[in-house]
Amino acid sequence: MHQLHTQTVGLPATITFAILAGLTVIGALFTITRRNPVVAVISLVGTFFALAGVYASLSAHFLAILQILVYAGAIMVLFIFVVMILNRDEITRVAARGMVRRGLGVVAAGYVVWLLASVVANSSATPLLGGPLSEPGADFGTVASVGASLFTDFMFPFEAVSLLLLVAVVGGLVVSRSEKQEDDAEETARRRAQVATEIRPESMVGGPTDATANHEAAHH
Amino acid sequence: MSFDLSQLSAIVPLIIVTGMGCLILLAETFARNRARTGLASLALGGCVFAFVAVAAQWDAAATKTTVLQGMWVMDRMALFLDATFVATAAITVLISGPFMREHGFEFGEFYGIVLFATGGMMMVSHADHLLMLLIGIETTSLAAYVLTGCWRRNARSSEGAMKYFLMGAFATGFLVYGMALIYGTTGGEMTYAGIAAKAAVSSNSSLFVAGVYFVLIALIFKVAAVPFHMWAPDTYEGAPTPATGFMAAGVKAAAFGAILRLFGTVFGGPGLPGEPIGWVRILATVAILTMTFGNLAALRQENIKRMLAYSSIAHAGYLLVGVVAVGVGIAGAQSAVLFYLVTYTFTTLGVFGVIAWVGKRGDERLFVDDWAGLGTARPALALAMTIFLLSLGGVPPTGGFFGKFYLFRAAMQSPELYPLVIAGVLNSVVSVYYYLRVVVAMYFRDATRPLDSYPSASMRAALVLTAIAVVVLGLFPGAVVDWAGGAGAAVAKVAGL
Amino acid sequence: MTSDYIAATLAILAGVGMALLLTMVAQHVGPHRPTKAKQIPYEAGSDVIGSPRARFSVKFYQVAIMFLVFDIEAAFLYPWAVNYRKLSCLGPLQDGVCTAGVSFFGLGGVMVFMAVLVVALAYVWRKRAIGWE
Repeated sequence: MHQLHTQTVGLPATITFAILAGLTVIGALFTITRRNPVVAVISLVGTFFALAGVYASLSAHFLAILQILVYAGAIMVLFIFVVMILNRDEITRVAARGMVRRGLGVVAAGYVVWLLASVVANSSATPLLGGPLSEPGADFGTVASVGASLFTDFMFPFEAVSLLLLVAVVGGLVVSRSEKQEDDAEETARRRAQVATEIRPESMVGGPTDATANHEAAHH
Repeated sequence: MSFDLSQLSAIVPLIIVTGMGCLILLAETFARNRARTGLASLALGGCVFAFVAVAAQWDAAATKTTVLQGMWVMDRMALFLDATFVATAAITVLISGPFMREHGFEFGEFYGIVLFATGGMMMVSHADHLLMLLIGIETTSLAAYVLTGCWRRNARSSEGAMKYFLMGAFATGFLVYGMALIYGTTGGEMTYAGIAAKAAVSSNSSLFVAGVYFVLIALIFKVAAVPFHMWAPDTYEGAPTPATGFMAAGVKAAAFGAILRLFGTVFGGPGLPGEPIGWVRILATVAILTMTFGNLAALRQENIKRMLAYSSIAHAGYLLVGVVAVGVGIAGAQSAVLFYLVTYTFTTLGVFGVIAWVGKRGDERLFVDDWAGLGTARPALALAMTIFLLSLGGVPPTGGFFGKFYLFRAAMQSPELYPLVIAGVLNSVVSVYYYLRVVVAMYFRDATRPLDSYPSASMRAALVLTAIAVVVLGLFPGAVVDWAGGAGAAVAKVAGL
Repeated sequence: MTSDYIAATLAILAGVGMALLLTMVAQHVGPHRPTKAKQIPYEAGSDVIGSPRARFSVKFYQVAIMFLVFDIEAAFLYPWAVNYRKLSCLGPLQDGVCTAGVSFFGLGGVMVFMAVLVVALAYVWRKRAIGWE
């Protein structure tokens, strides 16, 4: 009774899963092996769509739609923009540092894959802690049922996510400031240093901050 | 079903820091230039209020309660860590203002992001649900990536942020995968109590064990332990120095908070030894490797920031000894780890504060040779640096000594952990060598270049505060040990002892 | 529910197949008489100046980041809207009619969420990340 119930899953579902999982992996492999970034990005779209299919086959209907909307939609736009910004000529292959490191990496990756494969292969032999999982209800994964739990049991994490999104927006803008904005920031810093000077004039006369600020100003 | 509003009192410190962060963002964009100089004070005020709010919760949190539908745990360990995070943020704010002004890239978002990161850390320390842990860790990490890469005109800053981000995203993948495996194998449990209940009956499922290991991998990545430490030297070296201090102290403390709670109460700890899952043995190996590698690599560094990055890896190793002691069920190990975290936090912030102050625009003075003669040119600064370095090395009468003392004393209670203690003591001895190299350079060598650093009241305040804290922790560790003991006992009580 | 996907899959396959089919038909049936002038980019008659792979402004990235964040925000609002009636009622719903008093829980929760994101919006607005100069 503590087994993973692979036998309760019908053959069509298994075939669907195999196809979708295969597509996901193939898309991911293409993404990391294609040298043309645009091809890599399009392969990633394929991966996202196949993943949405996996979600749908697991009755996570709303999640499947979100996967397509957010990942295949918004995140792909972001990737394409980044590819355009980076300008292909600048994209050079990262040189792996030496054969030893590369070899170690391959060995480590192979070991992890082997370990995971053996874990999955043995998983039907060891009991699940919670016993077999029950079948999901008829409305499982619909927009209504996701909302019903999101806005009751998971209200606090939902609010916490807003903080995460806020940090993402601010962080994205901070790390992508343009040269002009950087100049503005520098100007602001200089002005703030001056304000500080006015507050404590005696300590700043001929001080290093003043000197360097003037020096910089002379440069621009 | 829905939570009542009175439970919101539990998250007042979180509301204060995030609300103040939002206010700073708005002030940065809306206020006029002159008014903007007050942003650092605004951030500082937020930290003070949050600290008061945390202190006000202390008495009520003697027994553990869970609020907000099992998402948020209120106990003294979480509050103890909260106080540490808030202090970290306050000192970072004090240091970063003058630093950014000197190097010409001051922007108010920095303070906001520091406060948001603090909020994320609070979520980590209070998390009683895997989802909250994930959101907290992600908020903290995202903020840390930005703080690392915010020095746009410094190529090393961008490089460090890039490496940190790529590796960190990979580690998050491990975290989520591990959580999914735990969720699946426990029949849909995501609360710590639920998982612990299932794991106490049997933890013999190979998928469950794989999930636990994945979570462990992600968390020891965040504390930069071997073999997941590769990002740390480049990131710590590249980040603006105040941000380095914030990451080395705050982010690491938050990750240790998560490790203590998960591996001290859910997958191991008193009443629930971690041996069935087997992580204790692995973590013991990781601890020895981390201490040894960190110290040996630090010996060879000429760049002080890089040296301290490796030293911070080594300190993660010492702390992991404490976690192993918690895992085998030693009472008091938890409070020893918490005490060590406090001393390490103040020491690290201080040491990076001194580095931030010694350098000036276009000349960061990051090499040991650059520090020659500081003892005569800036005696007070050199004295502070000496205190911090001795504390890092664990030399009495500094806080670092008692941190190591309590940690190793806790581990000594189990004969199985003797090898760990021996490795820890040997490593501490080795580490004193490279810390003293800097001290020797400061006092016994003549300056090659004039040493003049910019005047700054807030920098001075931060360094005086941290130096006093480190000395007081070394002379009178009693009070903080009691607080940490209360925090540690709270956790032990939860586990049913 | 899962069986509904069979129809959806068939529709997607039919759509993709039709697009591929038309492209192939156009390639094979249409006449091909390439000349040198036709092969140059744009066929506009003038010579190409510089590389076609010009570097794009980082603005694109900033806009994409914001699009992504607010896209996620919008995604959270679907399940909220579907459940709004239920969330606003203190008791159970009977045939869509509330049997008890009004609860502001659902509204308040989303308002807090939105308020934080309005801070983000105000920030990017003032930082002139939206719009070009």
